[in-house]
Amino acid sequence: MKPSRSLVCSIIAAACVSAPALAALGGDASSVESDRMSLRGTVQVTQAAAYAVHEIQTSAGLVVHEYLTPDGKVFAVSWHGPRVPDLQQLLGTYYGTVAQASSVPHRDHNHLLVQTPDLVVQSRGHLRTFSGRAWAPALLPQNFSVDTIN
Amino acid sequence: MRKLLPLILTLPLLLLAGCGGGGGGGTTTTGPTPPSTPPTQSMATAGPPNVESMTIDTGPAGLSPPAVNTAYISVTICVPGTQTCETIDHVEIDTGSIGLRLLASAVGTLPLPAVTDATINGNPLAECLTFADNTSSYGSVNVADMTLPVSGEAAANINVQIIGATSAGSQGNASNPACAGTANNTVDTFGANGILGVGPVLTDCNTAGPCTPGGASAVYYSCPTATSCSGFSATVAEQLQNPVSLFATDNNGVIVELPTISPNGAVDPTPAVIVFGIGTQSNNALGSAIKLLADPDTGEISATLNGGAALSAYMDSGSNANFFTDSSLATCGPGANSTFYCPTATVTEDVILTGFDGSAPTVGNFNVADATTLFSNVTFTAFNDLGAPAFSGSTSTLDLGLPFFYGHNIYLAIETPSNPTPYFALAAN
Repeated sequence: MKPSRSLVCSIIAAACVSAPALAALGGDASSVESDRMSLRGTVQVTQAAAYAVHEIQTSAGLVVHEYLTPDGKVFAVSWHGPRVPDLQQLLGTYYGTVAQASSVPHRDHNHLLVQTPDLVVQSRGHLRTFSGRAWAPALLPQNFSVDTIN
Repeated sequence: MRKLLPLILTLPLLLLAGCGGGGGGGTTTTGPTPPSTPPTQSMATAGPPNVESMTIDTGPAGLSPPAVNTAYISVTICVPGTQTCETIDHVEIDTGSIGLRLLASAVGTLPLPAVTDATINGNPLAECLTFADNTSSYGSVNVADMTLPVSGEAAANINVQIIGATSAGSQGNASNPACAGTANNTVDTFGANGILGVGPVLTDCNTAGPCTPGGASAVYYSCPTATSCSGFSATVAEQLQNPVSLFATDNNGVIVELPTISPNGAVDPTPAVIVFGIGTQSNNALGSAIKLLADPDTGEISATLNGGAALSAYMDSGSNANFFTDSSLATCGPGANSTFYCPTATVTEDVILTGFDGSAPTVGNFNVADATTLFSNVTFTAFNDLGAPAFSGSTSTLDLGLPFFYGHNIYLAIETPSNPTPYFALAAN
């Protein structure tokens, strides 16, 4: 799988620097490097005015974006690639809602939509091609459009 | 990056959508060529040498909730080189995955030998299959001879995942911490006794080389014992192969042919067949079916929905509805049907399908009806107008599930070393 980069075109004139730290949704940037460690990926950070995007890329072609507020809180994550990442790792304390949704008897396994006041998750895909995104509505920066999460 | 590939035709729309500038937009960038309408073809008759009949029924005995829009065949598997065999019913035909996977409870005690890793001590292999709904299926990798009982198509010594096999340990415990997600290892959760993945690529992980472990996202595991599995870079030969590619002939693709059905639904509509090979027999010529080239990395084509921006699209018989985003449609509200659309009146979605490179614009419209009304006739198992909301935003996709297959002959041509670009092709029937 060739590496790929999502189009985040609201980040114009973005500066890229390397940074080690990432966190699960709702977590603190300084607290966790565990996502990158877990994924065995490399990280690049893109800084926009009101938030930062930490991008993890793995050798297996999985790309994860984590969106952080200026004070370092993860308010959204997204992923695309040949596998579904470990959502327990990525969603942290928010994972319980997803675990519950995937445990309800259902027939289709190729999509997941979760929409609660606290958490939105959208996941889709089939073998070798997956993508998804999740955010915590209460943590979004002011005037942030969720269309940016991709 | 697949979203950038139809760049020439769709760049202005794509940028607009990517910036959150709103959906909509016009269709003026598709140029002067009007989209083609799929030509009409006949359907093949089930039987030797290359046509398998499918059933679209409520699924394996006792399945709850029952299946809808799921196409099943029976598969005969044997201990390699022997007549020690069994036939397993209700194996789902899935154009969205690769490889034969069977539930351990359906296989029972048939002694299929393990696939062992060639490079580390000959340990048995296991696999973790992840799904987008945060479920995953874990089990051992074994070898079997496979025969399809209606057509007689056969492949010897194929790798098969036996989901839930205890020889591969248990999912989600200390020995296999990396197969993340909710366990999907029973017939009841899986919705079938197995799955025959016949998508347009050759293997289930990496056709070009070893399947690289990705930490918590490893696909294959090497298991010295059932309680000590670790991520493993399975070679191409150790991965699950597309079984169709291993047939002696008729091995370059499939055609799924489902009949037209009533907008109210149907009970196990017939004839419903899967034809093996493209252009290898008198009953599987491509003819004038419209070819839609698929991205070799993702197996996906491109589409526009109601004149919007280009989306990744694919035809997945393993999806039981058409999944897409149309914010004008109401969903069904709380309850068992909450994951479907329930428009007040049947709506036609205007779809133009193209190759991943934007070529060959083709009409791919479908209807969406009130799912609760459709399901109110509990004997019906087939619906051509079942729709469901999916991933939204600028990277939205169009998953044309089994509802789209009714009334169509849908070709999937498998990538090969000499023909590295797989394709879908579309005709009406």
